[in-house]
Amino acid sequence: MQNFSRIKFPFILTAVLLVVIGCAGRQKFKKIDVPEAAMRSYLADKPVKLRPGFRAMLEEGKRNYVLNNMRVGIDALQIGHLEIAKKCFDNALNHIEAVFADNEKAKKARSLWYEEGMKDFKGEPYERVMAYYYRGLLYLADKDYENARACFKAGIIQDAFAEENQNRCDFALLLFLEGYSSLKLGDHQLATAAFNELKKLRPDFTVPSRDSNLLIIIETGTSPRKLADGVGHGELKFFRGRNIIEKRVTLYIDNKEFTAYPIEDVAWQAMTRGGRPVDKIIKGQVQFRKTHEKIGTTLTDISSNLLLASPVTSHSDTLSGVSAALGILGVAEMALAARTRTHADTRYWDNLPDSVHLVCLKIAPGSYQLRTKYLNGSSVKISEDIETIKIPALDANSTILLWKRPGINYISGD
Amino acid sequence: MFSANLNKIEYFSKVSLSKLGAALFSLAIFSFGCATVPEHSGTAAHYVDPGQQSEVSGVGLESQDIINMTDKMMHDILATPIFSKPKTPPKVIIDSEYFKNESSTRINKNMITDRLRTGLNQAARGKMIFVGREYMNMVLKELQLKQLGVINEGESASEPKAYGGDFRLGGRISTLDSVNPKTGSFARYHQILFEMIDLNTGEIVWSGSYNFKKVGQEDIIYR
Repeated sequence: MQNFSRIKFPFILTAVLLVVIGCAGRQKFKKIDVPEAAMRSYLADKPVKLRPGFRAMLEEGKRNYVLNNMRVGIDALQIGHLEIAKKCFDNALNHIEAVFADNEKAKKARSLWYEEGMKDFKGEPYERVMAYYYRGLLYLADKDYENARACFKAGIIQDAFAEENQNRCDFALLLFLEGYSSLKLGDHQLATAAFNELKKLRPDFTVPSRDSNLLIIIETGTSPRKLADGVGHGELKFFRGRNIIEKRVTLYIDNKEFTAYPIEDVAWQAMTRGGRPVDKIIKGQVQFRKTHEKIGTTLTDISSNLLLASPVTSHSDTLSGVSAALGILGVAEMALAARTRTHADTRYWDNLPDSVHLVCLKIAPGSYQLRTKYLNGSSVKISEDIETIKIPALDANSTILLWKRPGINYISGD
Repeated sequence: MFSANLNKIEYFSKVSLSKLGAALFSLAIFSFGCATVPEHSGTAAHYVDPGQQSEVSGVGLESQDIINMTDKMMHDILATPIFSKPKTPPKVIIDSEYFKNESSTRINKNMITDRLRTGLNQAARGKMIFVGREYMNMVLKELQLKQLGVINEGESASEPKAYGGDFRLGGRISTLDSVNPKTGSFARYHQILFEMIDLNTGEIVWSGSYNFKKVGQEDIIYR
């Protein structure tokens, strides 16, 4: 009976361990349990359409604070709640700008036992750049061209982090906006410097004239996606968003046609970033996992063979004991391997556009009919927006910003 | 020899097997449970010294920079004879109208110029007269009412008239950024220039600058 239990022990242990480690697949992140009364009070003054985002902000806490602020920021912009949008992007940027060194969560995210997604989200460079882009646009709408330019310049710096082999930015959208802000400030030298950089990336782009007073920015398509691929899902891959049909945009202002210039491909920016240093850490974790899995399998195989051989030898008790010990070690190795969390962080800013197009004009004050046609790659119309825009009288150094997505628009100075 | 070894193994297996199994089993139970990570409960709001670097810090302009730079400029201006030993107190405009931000740091420039003006106003003790140009509309409305005779002219002015400035603050915030994508380190050099301009001649009668460089390196997980 004693012999039987000793022989069976490793297998019982194996079964128990496998059941226990079975749940170590993906790490779960606990939501903050906010009492419903407190939640209701927090959401009471928030616009109804933004409440799900604000709820998530509270429940998901610091880990997704930046991400939720980014998401709510765009949602707020889309429904014209600019003060909320500004606050959200300020919140996101304040965290992006803080240097996260000696951060406890970052330390854990580097370890074998936690997923990369453990860290507080700050986004990949293209996401950080876009946060600066939106905050900059909001400053531009307020005619605070200095802070708008500061945002665009800071976004350009973030993009440099994505360029592994070149310490320069290739985010044409931000270079344009930096130049445009300088143009509106009358800093022509700085504007020229930014536009010269832009021309290196977009040689066919026509630099706006000093007296242009209407900037139309049109965003199309869905956000780039992140997926975990490879062994242990440790490899982060970027993909273009799904169901993107709009490729080009044509505008008609009182029937006069303007082709919007496709200044930025956000998905391309996401997909072409250089290798992340953290990928090497995850690769090491995957290797650790594979090695321990291999050792565990080998040990349990030997254990099984010894167990099978034990009845035919004169040292059957001894061999059973050795088999049991090796079995336990093998299972422990396998458990160690299974406990290693190698899944890459696939959280992403999911209401970003795929592409950004723009038109720059000089236009007299007045009321105009604006028709926006969204076309596919073969120039076939997908959808159309028709609206009336009012251009107020402006001083020479001011501009009106019209920000558009299909079916949505915001115009500054209304 | 082989038999002796087997005996040792047998001894080991009999004596230690149950202990080893129990230890491993306990370890497994404690360490292999489903890992969920709770959110931190936060920190209660509390006062901190704005002159000290805070826990959350970046490479941009922060409260301690604003305090240090305005203190330095204030002392420098007060040590300049044209302001410290004037024959008649000069009328000075200190606001952000001509204080430009060409940097990559978002900033409310009023934070700098407001602190500089209030500091100087308190320390100058009548040696300078500060003109609130940003309140011009307020002043004009009052003057209009006085000129219309709707209200009396108050006690101080025989002929109500807004002050013109003798000197006005100008300046520029500029930055130089550098990034090393391989190491994740980045640096920002700030150069903040303050100048006092004679509004009658355009002469720059005083200049001061405050420069600093901050470097940081993100945890590798964020690079």
